[in-house]
Amino acid sequence: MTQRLRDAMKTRYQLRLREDGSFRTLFTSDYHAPRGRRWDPELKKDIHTLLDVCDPDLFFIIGDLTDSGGLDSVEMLEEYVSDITEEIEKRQIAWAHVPGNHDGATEEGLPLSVFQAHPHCLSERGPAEVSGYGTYMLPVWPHDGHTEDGPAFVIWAMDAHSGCNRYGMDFQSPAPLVLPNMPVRFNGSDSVHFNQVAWYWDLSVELEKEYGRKIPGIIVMHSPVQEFCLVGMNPTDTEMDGIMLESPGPGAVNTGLFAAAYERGDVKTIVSGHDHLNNYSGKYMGILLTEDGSLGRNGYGIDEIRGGRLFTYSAEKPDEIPSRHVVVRDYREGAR
Amino acid sequence: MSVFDRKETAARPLKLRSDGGFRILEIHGTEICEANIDTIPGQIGRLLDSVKPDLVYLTGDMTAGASNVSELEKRLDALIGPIEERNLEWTHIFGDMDRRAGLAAEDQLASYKKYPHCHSIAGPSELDGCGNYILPVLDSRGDPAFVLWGFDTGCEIGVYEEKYHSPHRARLASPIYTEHYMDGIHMNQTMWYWHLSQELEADYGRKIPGLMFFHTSTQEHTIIPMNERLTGMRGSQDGQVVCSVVCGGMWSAVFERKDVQGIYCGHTRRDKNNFVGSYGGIRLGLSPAFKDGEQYYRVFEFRDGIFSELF
Repeated sequence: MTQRLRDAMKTRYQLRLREDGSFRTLFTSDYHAPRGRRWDPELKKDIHTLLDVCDPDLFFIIGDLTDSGGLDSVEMLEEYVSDITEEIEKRQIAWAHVPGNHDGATEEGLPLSVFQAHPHCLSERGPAEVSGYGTYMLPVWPHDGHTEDGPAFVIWAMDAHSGCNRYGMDFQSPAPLVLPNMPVRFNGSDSVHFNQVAWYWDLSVELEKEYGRKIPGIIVMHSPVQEFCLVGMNPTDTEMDGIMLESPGPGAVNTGLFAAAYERGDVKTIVSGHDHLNNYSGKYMGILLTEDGSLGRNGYGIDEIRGGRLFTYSAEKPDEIPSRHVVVRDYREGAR
Repeated sequence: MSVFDRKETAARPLKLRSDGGFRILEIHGTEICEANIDTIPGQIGRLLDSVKPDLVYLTGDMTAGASNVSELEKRLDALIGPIEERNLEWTHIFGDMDRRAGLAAEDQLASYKKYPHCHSIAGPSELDGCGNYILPVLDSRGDPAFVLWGFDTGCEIGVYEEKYHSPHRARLASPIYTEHYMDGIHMNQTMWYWHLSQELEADYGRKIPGLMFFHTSTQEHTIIPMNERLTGMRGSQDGQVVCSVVCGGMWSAVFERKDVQGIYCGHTRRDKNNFVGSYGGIRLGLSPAFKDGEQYYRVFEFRDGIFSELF
């Protein structure tokens, strides 16, 4: 095994399938906690409800935990993170996150140490040579914990950064990358950088070489990739399901992550947040593209879809990881 | 083993001129068929005599395809004959038209390689396409002054759908970038560039300047005519850049590696699709099909680490 793969598969503790061979991952996003200790206390109750309903083995937060690059102080961020994850930790459920564009362009907004102070948090920074501060792999191992045959499946967490002009600055572009006329409607978002696509590609190749098979996977990142736009534009051909009340806001530049997943053939799902009015899913070239409906109450959003996306891995159909959207209001009495 | 000793590279490296310069003539889309086979040799000969290149790079659609080897070789003689007669070095990558009359690119390469001044090779077999390779040009010390990256962008997107078992069509009724159905650079080709570019830097302790040529353009090429002023566009376009349906990430790989100075493509046969502009500091060019008497070709002059576009 390469040192790189060994390092990538290292987590603070081992995620394992249940005894019946299943594993439930719940993705939520876009809490948008504003500065000044004003995060909506309902969020915590929503999370509580989703834990009751979904019974997840892993609770994953797909970015925009905060609205404007963190909170007023590290102490206040500690208080916020402790507050929203209190029930998760109490139930000893594993959890993790990637930053979103509102969490700031540097690690200053969401210092990882604040998260890793919690015993069940599995968030990582990822290798130093890879862009951003949240590109890492979470392997899920068989119930007995044996590692010889490889993980049952893998979650590829990727930092999609803040803005595309920042991408330009990071790589010494002599001119802005965000120009007045771009092929997709966008708001200047960034995406994963190419070096992150290469990180996924290389590890995916190494995983297959090591275990003699393709390991199924889910890619999770805050802003969607451009191919998400094709779903709403072609609802029949993509078997679109769910709601799309706003155009997806993918990165201004396509760095090829979709093609990488398609050619590698191991990842069958890309799940994103970022667009609060969408909980659609659709398939393009065999890959499910889905947005998680936004759980937050401090940003814009609607009760009809406020919730999260639940993926249930099972040993019977290991290659596809079926998922459904769960709406909080359906289960929480008195929820606004 | 240096990257230049491996199968990625053409066997005979080229050298800078004694004055340190090097001139590349890019010819695209001669599409030789019965209609132009008699007029092409004279036209190409005149162009070669006026440009006086150190290397001719043929960037696809050399012929309108061929149904058998003897037909192909007759057509190639019309284009390559004048180059060989002048003892000029040349190389090529395939376009979509080259494979539209029955004979596959893989079955055509041997006919190209029969010519003594040909530098084209198939490249690594594990990559998609035929003709993914680097062509180094050495300085007086024998180190690479620059490399030319050539890629095969295939033909139609259906090949890509089948090869990786897509259960859905890649080309949808409502696309983002193009209503056409062209294949393009695949991720495995981009990854090959990415790794080899890093190896080159490790071997020589510096980034090796480069240019990149392939037939069907990247999606980022469409950004140039959409933003003429801010990309400093030269040339013209007719409102439709036929790029690849799927994005293989090549522009962003080049943007992050910072060694390739320009990506030059073609494919579109419309006269007015003839432009160059900069996006993120990378020159993105689209070449029109060759036409006698017009400046429908591109000339690059390399000097002191920089490529200049003369046309």
